[in-house]
Amino acid sequence: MRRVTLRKNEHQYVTERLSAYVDQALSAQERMRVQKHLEQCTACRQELESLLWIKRLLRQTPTIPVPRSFVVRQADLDAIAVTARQRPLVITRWATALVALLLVVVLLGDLLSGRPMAMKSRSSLMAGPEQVAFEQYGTPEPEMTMGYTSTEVERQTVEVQITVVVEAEKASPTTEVRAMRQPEAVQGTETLDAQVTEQVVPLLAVEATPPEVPPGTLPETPPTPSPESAGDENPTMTPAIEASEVTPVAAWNEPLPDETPSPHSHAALEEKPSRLVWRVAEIGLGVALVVLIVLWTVMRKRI
Amino acid sequence: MTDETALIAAAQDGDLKAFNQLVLNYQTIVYNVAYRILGDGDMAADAAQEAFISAYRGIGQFRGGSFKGWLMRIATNACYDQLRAKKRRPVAPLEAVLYSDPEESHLQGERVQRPEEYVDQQELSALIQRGLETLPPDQRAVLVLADIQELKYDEIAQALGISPGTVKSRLNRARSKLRDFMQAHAELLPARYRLEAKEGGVAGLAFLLIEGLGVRRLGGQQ
Repeated sequence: MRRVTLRKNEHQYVTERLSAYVDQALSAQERMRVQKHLEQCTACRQELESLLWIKRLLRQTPTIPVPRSFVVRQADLDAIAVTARQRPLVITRWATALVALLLVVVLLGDLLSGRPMAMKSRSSLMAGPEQVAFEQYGTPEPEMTMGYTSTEVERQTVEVQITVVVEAEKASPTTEVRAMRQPEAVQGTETLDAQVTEQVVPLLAVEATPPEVPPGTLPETPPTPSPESAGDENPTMTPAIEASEVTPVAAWNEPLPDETPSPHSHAALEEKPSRLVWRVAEIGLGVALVVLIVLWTVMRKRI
Repeated sequence: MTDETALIAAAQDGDLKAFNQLVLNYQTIVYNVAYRILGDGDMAADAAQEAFISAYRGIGQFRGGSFKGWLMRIATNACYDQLRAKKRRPVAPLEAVLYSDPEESHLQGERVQRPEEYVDQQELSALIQRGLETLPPDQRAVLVLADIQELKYDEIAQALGISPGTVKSRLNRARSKLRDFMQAHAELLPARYRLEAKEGGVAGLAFLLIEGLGVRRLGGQQ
């Protein structure tokens, strides 16, 4: 009885190692044990034979000639480099979202605590460009911005934003947002316009929210009037935060408006400049927002 | 070998020409591994090209050891990528790929062969391919590397990112499975390749004792 189990164990020990035995990959000790068992076990010898047979067959598998050369060309590497550069930096994206968020917090806090002060500081700070912004804001035709360089457009759109935020309480926010969306609808005219506007629209949508809280309720809503603690006002802030974080990311995932009508075959190379503009617009907007926040804070302290 | 080391060093310095010399040395084995794992010429070509581009871009990370093993790791990963992509959007059923154009002359006899020998070899190739398709990809890969390309255990371990012990056990399972398949389809195998049942498996033992001296040692010193 004991001999039988021993033998069974031995059999299993050997079958587990037969494949390695065929490869001569066993230690001397294992090898001896396997050989000893093979001498007395027919089944294991047959198993060994079949494994040798399989190994021999596989070794006879004919080599297939390569259908073409797989030499790496510089063009392949360049194509990959372009694709890698096209991938938007996640950090840039989040930085923009964060900066936009900061702006919302500061502006909101400012609006809720001392609105007249903010108005005063703003008008003393930028009387010139504001006029342009107002003009453009008044007539939101897409052709208006076509002649400007990218930085001009960015600066102006940022200023338009300020105007919208401050003016928001006077006019209804929905009309303003709709007005700003118009250039986006006109596709294929000037990609720069469409892109910059697209990026601004979500922010506008976010910043247009404060007026939804009627001005009459202002005294009740802020428990602490200081602008620094304005960020603690979570009940009113949460929808704005969510919107500002989600919408720009969604916009990134959507195809750019100029991608589809491109008749050229080198689509990868054609995309590159527009992506660059996209990136510049994003960084430019981020920087502009930071500067804006700093100026806003400085001006408030001075008065 | 020192030649290869020099080529690798040059490639690590950004010499694309030197790297392409390595490509020429290894493209047949990379393509064949991919072909056996994927069972499709076009996918194998894509995987091979992908592998060499990745290898060039990552050659800075190669820190000595077996270049073949390192390259095979990139190649098998490229194959797994292809398999995943295929799973996401299947182009053609596996059967169609396997049984399509058996006349396709990708197995040109480079050595001059008698026609019937060539036909037999093609049949063997096709049947082995069918058998490989019945194995899970990890077993397929280990079998292709060990028995078709005859890599050493440590190279296989490196190529598949597993321990030599796992190579042993996985190879054991893969061989048994393929053996079962080939025995079940023995009638499709040309006579010259069939396993003749010799009584008691004595032949197997004899074969090993004789061939043991000539067979390349796969497992290193262990």
